[in-house]
Amino acid sequence: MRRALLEPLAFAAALLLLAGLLAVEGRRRVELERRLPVEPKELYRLLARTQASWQLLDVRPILAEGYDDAHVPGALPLPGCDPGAAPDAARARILTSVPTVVISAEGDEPGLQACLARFGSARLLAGGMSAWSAANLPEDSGAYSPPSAKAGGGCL
Amino acid sequence: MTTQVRVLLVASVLALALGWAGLRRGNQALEQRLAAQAASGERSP
Repeated sequence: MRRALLEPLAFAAALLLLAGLLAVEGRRRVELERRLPVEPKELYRLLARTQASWQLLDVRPILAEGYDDAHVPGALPLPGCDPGAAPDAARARILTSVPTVVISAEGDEPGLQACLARFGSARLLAGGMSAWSAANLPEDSGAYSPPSAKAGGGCL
Repeated sequence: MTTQVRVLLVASVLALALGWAGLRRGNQALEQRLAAQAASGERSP
């Protein structure tokens, strides 16, 4: 009788304890990733593997001199990390709950940590757009246009 | 408690334990990378 009661309690306690430990480590992972910028080549590999699950935000302040000139393929413009300054079509697609990579000009501008904190899980691109260009990785240019519903899956 | 339920619970405990261990190991690797970055940042002017 006593064993019949103790066994489910022991399992419940173990499951609760492990779920708590997992939650703590998960939160720690988000914090660590926020502090650790992603290298351009690492981001390229990540995008090639799991493009659908990453949101890329280009926060360079002036669209004409930044995003429109050259940007990481698939990135959404969010000038100055201010949703009010984003083009309407892009603003509607920006989500705070998906894993995000924030792309600035050089990767070390002030205010970037505050920008990262707006998203549930966000990392910086190390060295920003200049490091991406210096690594000779693919770039797109021109103003943002939302993907066509007829378009198939693209590739980098 | 039936054997099936017991097996299911043990499997769940094991899965959670493995997930936790993997996450913890990944976090330790990230911490080492952060420490290495901080050290190289201090060395370079």
